[in-house]
Amino acid sequence: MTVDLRRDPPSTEPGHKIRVPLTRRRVILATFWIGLLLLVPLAMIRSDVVPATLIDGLEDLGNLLARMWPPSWYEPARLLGLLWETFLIAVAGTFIGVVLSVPLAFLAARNTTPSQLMFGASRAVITVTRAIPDLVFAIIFVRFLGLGPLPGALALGIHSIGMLGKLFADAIEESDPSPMEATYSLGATKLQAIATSVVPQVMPKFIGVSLYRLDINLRMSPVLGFVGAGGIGFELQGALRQIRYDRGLTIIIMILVLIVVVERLSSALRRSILGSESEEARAAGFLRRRFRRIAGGRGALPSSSSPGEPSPLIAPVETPPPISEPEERIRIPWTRRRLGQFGAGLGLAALVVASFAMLDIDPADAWRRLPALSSMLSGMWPPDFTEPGLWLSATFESLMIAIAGTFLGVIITLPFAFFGARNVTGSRVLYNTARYGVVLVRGVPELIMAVMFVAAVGLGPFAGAMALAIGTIGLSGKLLMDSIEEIDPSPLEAMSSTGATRLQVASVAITPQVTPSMVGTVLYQLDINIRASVILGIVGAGGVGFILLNSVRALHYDRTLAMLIVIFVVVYAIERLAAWIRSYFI
Amino acid sequence: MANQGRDKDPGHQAPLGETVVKISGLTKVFGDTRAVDGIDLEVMSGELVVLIGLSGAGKSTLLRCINGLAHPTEGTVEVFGLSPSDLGKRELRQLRRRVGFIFQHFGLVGRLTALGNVLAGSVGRVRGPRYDISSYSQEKRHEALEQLDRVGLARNAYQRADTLSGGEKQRVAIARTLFQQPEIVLADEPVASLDPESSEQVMEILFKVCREDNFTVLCSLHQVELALGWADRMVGLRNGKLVLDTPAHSLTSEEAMRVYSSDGALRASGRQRGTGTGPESNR
Repeated sequence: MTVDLRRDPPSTEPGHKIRVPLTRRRVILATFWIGLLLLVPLAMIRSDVVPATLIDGLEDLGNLLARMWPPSWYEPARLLGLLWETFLIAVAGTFIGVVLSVPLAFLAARNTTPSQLMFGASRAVITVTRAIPDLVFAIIFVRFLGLGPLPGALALGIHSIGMLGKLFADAIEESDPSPMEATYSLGATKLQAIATSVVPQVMPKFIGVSLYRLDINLRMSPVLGFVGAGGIGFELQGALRQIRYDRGLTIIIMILVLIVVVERLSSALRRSILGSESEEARAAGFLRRRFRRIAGGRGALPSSSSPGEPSPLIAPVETPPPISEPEERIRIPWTRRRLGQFGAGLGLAALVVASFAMLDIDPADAWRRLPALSSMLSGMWPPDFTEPGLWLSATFESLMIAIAGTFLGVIITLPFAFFGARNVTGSRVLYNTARYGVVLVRGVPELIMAVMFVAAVGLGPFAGAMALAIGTIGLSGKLLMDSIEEIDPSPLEAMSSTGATRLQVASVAITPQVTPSMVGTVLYQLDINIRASVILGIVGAGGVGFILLNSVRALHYDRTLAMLIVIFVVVYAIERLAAWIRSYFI
Repeated sequence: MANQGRDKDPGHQAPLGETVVKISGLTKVFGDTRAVDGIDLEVMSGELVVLIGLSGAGKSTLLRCINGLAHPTEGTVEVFGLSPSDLGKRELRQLRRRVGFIFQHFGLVGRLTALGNVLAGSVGRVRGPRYDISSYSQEKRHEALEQLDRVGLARNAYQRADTLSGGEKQRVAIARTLFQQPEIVLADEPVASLDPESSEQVMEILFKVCREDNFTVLCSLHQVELALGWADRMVGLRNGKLVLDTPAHSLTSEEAMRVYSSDGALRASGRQRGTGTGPESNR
């Protein structure tokens, strides 16, 4: 703040006007709101989200749904096979991501990195893989690995590094340093110290984050087929091209069911691997805190269990190890918890093995494809920025789609968010409707939405903006409801005890409290939507993705690299900008 | 300091008016516990009543029943002849306008300025939704600043409430209640989360301004000594029952002890350490 409020107290003189002084913070916030006010209408117009097309669009969507109904359950065995493949691609992709991220994270954590250089380099890898969308990786990998699930899994894996590496590194940095110090004092090497004191601490968080990433990858793997990277997406694309919308609906329903089932399964798995309630709560709390930080909420939440609670790890040991009898072998006893962990771990390992068997990696084939890779890499350099008119306007279009979709989605979400917050909602029915509505909407991945909208309203940015708007309802709806539920209730009580109306309580006691997390959520959603808008073009829903896809298809790899650089710069710049704005909204 | 307050304000025993709060047979049950158990109490207008008792004795519940934040399980509460639990939403709001409430945890909106929080005290009088300072008229801003000045915080008007110290927060909350212009002020352990020094300062300010504005005050307190010199009447609760109701000047330490320790076990436990000093200092 530039104005020293303590030195400039307001005067109580009658003539003096009492105004909130203009601080640097207020100027920045005002600029933000005004900028938003100008940008949103522009974005709405540019991506065709205007009342007339909205009404037409809804009608078109209604027609499409009418033509989709009833779903046709054709060739169920083959579809189930493809669905299984889609799932295994997500499993393999997540596994690849985890395997690559774990060593990277230790290099990218300040307390375990061997050198400043390694720290910088690994952070750079994390940033780049985070900014380039998985579908873009898939397009490139398909080019030199050929059609099939392998490039898909690889693409998911590489892009996963961006999130996994970052969250793993954060977990390592947050670990308690005293056990490491203690291990050093025993004369341990750095590697020994990490293995015995850091790894056990971060394990639950690693597992929690990895399973969460599996859920995310599963939402992307059904779309990989659109660029030939395996799974059920190819079948969906075919059905829509042949105008067999009934088949399309069948596939979409199957995807929805798969996503919901796996989400359930992974949370059950999390429970049985992490075992004790408190450790799971801690892992969940970690994720939630991360999420809050991303969404800019009110810092750490009180976790349901106190962190100082002794871990139940020691509790289940029924018989102490026999010290007196040297011939007795000392083993960790097989408690129920350990059996559960073992079973879940075994199941996961079997899944990973199955997924790699499905990928059908042939080293000889990969060797043969090396020249294709090298020619692609050499073809990329130098990047070709010669047609700025084309990619600039396409990038701009992507941005506009993202902004319009975010805004439309948030406008629709806001009332639901208040209905779905336990402490604000007036009725149980409204609460349940809002909560379940959001869960249902969230089940369908944005890109599948985009595919449907393209089928309904035709190619172009409008389809993309609508898809992102619906995706926004699913994610930010949930986040907003939760953040409204977490506000401090005491000002509400204080205000209603002065005789304020419901609306007044909401305006003076709730709004100021939820503003930071609301702005945080919207900016986070915008960030996500910009990443998504970059790839919407691949399914024909407008933006820069279409040009990128074409450049790869036409073997103009120098243009591909140029596009990649542009996408990286835009996504990264928006991420930094959002973080900067958020810091003023606390 | 015991008699400071009375010296400052010799006119405190001004003729008492009519009954403003009338409680009869009030019982409030939470699950298996009877938080308040058959209490009868009358408060005259202009009276300053201090409620003493251990945590969980039912002081908060009693106060919350008076402005309708809680509803009695049995018995009746009448405020200005109206029963909060029988009123419609609109009438209850009108009644609450006349009853200020000061909370242990202040109930300030952290992200609003101190002045914005004081201004929020007027939402019962003004129409429509409000936010921070800019949503109120200049006139209101001046009035609110005056109240903030009375609690000694005019300098902090533009400071965000969450950057104030605990004592300052409670003073802002007091200014908010003053700006509400109520007739009765209910204070629920207003200094229980403050350090001893700011507790003394906050209670001094609270009682002083309430006397100046001639409010009827019902204040629950842990530390009896903070009330001495200000209170007209001391009311003691134990396990939800009324065990003491006496003019403050005739309160004996034995009577006060009866509120805090009914048996040897309680006396031996450390629970009364913070509260037991009150009656001692009265000797």
